[in-house]
Amino acid sequence: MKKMKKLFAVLTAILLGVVLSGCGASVSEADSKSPDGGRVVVDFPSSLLKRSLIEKGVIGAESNTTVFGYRAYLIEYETKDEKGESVTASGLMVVPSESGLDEAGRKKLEYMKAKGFSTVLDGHGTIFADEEAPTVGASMQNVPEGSPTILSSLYGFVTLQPDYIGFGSSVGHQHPYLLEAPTANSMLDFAKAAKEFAEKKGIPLNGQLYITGYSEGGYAALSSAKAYEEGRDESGFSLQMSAPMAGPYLMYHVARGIVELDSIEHPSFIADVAYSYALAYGKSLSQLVQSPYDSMIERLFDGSYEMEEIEAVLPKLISGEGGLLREDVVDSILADDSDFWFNEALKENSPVYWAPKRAMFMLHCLGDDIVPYAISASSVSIMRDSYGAQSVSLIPVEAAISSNPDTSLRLSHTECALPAYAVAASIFANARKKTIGY
Amino acid sequence: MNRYAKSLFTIATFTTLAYSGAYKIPEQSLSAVALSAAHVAHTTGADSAYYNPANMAFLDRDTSYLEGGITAVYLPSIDFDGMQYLDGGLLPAGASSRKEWAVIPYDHFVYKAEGDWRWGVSITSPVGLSKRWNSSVQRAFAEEFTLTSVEINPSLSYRLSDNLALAAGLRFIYSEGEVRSDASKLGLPFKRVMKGNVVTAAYNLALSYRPMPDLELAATFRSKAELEEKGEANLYVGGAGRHFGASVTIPMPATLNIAVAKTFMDTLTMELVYERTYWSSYKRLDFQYDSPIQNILIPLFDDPKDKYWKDSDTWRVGISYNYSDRVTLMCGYSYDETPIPQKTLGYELPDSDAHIFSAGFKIRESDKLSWGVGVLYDYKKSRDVKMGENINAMGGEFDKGGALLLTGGYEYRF
Repeated sequence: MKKMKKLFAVLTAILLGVVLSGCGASVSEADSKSPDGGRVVVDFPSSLLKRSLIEKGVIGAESNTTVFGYRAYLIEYETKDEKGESVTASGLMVVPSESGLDEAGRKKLEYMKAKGFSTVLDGHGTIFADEEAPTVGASMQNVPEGSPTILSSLYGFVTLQPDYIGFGSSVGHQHPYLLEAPTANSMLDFAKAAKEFAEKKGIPLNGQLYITGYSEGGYAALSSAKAYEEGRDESGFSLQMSAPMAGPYLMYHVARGIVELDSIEHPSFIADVAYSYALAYGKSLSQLVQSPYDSMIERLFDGSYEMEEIEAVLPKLISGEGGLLREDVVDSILADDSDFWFNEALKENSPVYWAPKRAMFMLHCLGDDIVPYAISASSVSIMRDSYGAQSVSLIPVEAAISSNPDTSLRLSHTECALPAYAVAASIFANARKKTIGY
Repeated sequence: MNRYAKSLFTIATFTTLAYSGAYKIPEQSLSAVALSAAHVAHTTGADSAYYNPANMAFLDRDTSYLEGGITAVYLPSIDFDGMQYLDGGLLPAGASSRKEWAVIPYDHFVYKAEGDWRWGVSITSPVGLSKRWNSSVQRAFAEEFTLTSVEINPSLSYRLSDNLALAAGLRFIYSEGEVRSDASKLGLPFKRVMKGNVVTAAYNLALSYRPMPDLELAATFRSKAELEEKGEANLYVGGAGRHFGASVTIPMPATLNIAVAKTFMDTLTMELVYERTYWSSYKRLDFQYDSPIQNILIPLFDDPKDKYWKDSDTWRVGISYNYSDRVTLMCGYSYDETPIPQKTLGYELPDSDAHIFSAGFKIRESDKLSWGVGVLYDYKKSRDVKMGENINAMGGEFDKGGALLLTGGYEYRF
């Protein structure tokens, strides 16, 4: 019996040994952080990307076009929110890469590296769900997405896309939606952090900076160009020109245009503005938004929900019974009541009251159904007529892509984004060619 | 006793191969190799603990039996001559898989009888698979598919009468799986690395009946075990990837053996075995991840892959001949059906029906010790796959493959 016990002891030991040898199930992590303060979240070869761009009909993407590989880094950085408090935010830095390039493409890239990459600081459009943020989407999907496919892979710029405060690494923080100072901070502070990262990583930058962005990103572009020219940039980049696109630069005018309507297709935008401004100005949201929506909005805009989900809850009706905004708010906006804090906040956060010295091309589609073309037209007029800006011009995107100023083509806000980026990239590339040589 | 025990449980490596019907490995002793696993009704040594534990009841009751050995396995490359439809086009897909070597140790032990009861234990490698391809098309599907296993199978027999015995056993199975797929050589920047492991349990039953001294009847059953390989996976799009908790379940199917053995003139024994393997439990291969994977990879690495294998039959015949008091000669033949239908055949296991031939001998050195050698050749029939009928969109012919096994083993009685 003793012998049998011994045998079972050995059997048990071996069985346990086998169980404990389960270390064979581990795989070293694919997404471990790099020591340089950023990590690669997308590294996609040019060949497949080129096919995708051609299939999508992206302007400039043709079979004989060089399309560079797409390498994107997630970088965290410090910026300041609307109260001046420090926030750890994140952004995506997309660098043209050699992955998948043929010999000619490789030589071209080597030449560009020798001359240094020019950089485009690009503000993304309005998002509500955190998973739509540039770094979050890139980290989850590992595929090229959005404007950097044009700016970096097609035109060879390094693209910088901050997530903005409230998304990515700062997801717990309320997004300061369409508030000028924190928006500009998140753009320019990311440019500074990305430049430092590039130096550590040996990514050759030539110091040129171009600024663009579409929709909210257009607003971010104009805000950050203004902040740059006001001397608030610490990156050391040299701003060459900017191309804000389809942004709601005149916030009061945009708000007034909305409240003049009975109902609105996308109430999420004005609801987010109300929420963001109430928080920034220390006001109660119930001063702007009717019950019960005033108590729902914090949850709706916490980064968990996409626009469709939010708009399934919010009313389309602007005001009145069951509407979104209080009637006195609507009346005050319509009356341009200067005692009403919200009107003044909207005007304070309209980054058009200055005269850019660097070239600025405002791009906007004539057929824009969300942010009217007139917003850009009025913004240009204010900067030119009231502030004497010499270098600001307005380009209707439909006219630019059809090479016909009288074109009848009209593109909606959504349809306009890709062509607008193609036009902006082309303008930037021409400027780069004149100054850098490629 | 302790040193015997240590010897009994010496396990060097896990099994890593696939040669016999899909990924089961029926040959787990010297006699089983030499007899093409026609070794169920007439088992006379320690390997009774594995092949028919009811027969432990009929072994000499005052003797303990110990058997150990090692099988070297050589898997020649499998050739594929054909085309692959992928990414909107037809690609030439002619290629050969890598040749594989593996070593399978085994140990069996049967302790002396205690009344009508008797126990034994086996350590074996009941399933295994290793298929690796370096060619660009095949790597996209199965750069590597590896399944390794070790089973500890204690069993207990009860002698109901002089000619009837029953047995039951518990099976503790440890298994590791590894899957690698890499489509980058096709210009598709998608790659998967996954490793997992599992400990699971099953049972086995056996019945032996000897209506006459020279006629042995037996039936054995091994229950199904689900190998839920849990571990981790890296899924890459280009040079960037994400890390996931991951799992995949593959069945270790139930098997039923019905066997009859007849001994002629006390020297020559012929055994016939019918084996039914219940592969139809393998309906799909479904990788699970602990969070949603990259959208672009879902069709490749997340969508369940249909398998719908069918139950398979294997017919075995083995002959052992006591040439002298010292020498026993053995030979065997099996016809082994593949369970894999043409519809779901894939590069990870391009299996086909097989003819299996084997031979071997045992030398009795003393009353206590004997040793022997067995060899087995598994000849796989070539197999056509029609592109329109295969869900993996391959068309062509698989050829060669098969396996060559060489086993050296000993038996010690005390």
